[in-house]
Amino acid sequence: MNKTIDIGQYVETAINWLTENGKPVFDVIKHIGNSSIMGIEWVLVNTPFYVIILFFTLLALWKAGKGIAVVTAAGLSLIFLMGLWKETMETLALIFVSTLTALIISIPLGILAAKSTIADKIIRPLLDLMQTMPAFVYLIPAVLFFSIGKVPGAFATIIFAMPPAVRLTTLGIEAVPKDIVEAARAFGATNRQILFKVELPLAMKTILTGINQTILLSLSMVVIAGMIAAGGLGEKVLEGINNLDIGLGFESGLSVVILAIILDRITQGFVKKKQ
Amino acid sequence: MKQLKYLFFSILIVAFATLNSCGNIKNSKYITIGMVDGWAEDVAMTHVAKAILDQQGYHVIIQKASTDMILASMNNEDTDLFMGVWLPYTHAKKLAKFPGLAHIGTNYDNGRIGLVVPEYVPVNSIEELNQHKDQFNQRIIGIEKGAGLTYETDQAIIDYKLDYKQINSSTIAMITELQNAIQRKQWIVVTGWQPHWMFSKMKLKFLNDPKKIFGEAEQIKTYARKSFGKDHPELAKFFSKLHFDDENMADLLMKMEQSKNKEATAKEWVEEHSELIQLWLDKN
Repeated sequence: MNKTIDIGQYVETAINWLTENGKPVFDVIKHIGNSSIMGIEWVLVNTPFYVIILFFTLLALWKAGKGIAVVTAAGLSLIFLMGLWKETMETLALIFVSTLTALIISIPLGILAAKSTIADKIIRPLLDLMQTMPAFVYLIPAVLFFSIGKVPGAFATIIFAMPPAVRLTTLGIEAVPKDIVEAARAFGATNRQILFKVELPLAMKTILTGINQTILLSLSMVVIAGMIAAGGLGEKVLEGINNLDIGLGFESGLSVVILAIILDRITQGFVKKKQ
Repeated sequence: MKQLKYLFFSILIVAFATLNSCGNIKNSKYITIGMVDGWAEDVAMTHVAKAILDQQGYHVIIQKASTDMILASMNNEDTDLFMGVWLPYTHAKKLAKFPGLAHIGTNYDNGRIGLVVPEYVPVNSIEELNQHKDQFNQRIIGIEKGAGLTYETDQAIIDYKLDYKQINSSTIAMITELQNAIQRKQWIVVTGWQPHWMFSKMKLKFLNDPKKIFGEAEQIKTYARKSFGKDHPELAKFFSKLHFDDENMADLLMKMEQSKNKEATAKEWVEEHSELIQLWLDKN
């Protein structure tokens, strides 16, 4: 293959430059990220398992009804009995930090894209890129910036899981009826009041759907992040694959599915309550 | 919304409170060793090292990732050690990319890579492969794209003018194909290496390589991040002494392959070989 245009070379140069010169910044991010993931992990692993099961069951009961509460209690008990509790808690900590960070970045971006046409024109193709670039590709810069471990795993997960939250926030705000905004303005509301008292509450249902999608996407990325020593269930799945251990592969895969169902139903419960 | 705010802040406070109790990962008692899951000899040696060092009061964390990722991480002074560097052939290219690494010991001397067939296949040299290309379906079953062995195999296909394609997916897929072929007594040629448990589990042989594309005997070495020797002189000493002979390696790989719990198996192995371990730990 003859290369006439070598885009990869420029990307490589850029990433290398960032790796060389951004080290202090990346080290600070790495430290904060590591401490927060480790901290939450420490809390989840050291809280007795029945307290955590009870917490999630009550949350499911409150937001998603009796059926899901039973599924939650049974599913989490099954994970505990399969001996994958610690790994599941590690995964939960990673998802929690990744999702939270993704939302802190993506919801303001979504609002910005809804308010400004120029921002929308810049953000949209970026989102397309983030969503369609094969997820494995993010692992390379993630490792160069943050070495192997939990933080690059979170970094790759954040990039992968952000787009739906941005898109759905934009969609939700754009869908707020113009006459309501006009009415609020007629009563002398400031832009800020319109955003926080009118637009965001009315768009909340769509935004929550975005949050739900972000959580599920970050869960699907966790297994891939297991390839760069992010630990948790992803590592167990890969261990099963790499050692031809069908049983372990299935058990850890099943744990991921159980976690996904529980998180999905509970966050959907939040969406439904908004109606 | 209000309750959510409180929940969020309380979680943050808890996170930061535990943050300070976690201690720094570069703490002198925390050692991180990179490991490629699926490389039997690397997994076995890493677990043995962990079992020994945990007994010595260290806290060893095993990080699973691919070769290049581990090397990059060591180059950034993050991961401490990697016990699976094959030299002078297989990993020479990869190592050249990361100048900031220090060689601290040799774990094994008789590593070998090459093309492998089941013993019942009446072919003994890579040069004979073209005469039997139909029986082999013109396929060489390889391991991961990007592995040193994969590169060498591509080189062999060119230099021997083989009418074959290398099929790459993963180590475990290669072993699965091999096992299936042997069960059906079919012809198959794969890329393989020794030491590996597949040689104790199945009857296999290396094909002769008169052009020496796959090199001769290889050593498996331990590499460390640049300042590891400065930070842990006593550990650098230990890893310079750690060494497996053929018999120990074969025995360890067999036990590891049959075990469901690698950490426990490594602990047992260390207890059984206390004399050898004492030699490694000897401070002189």
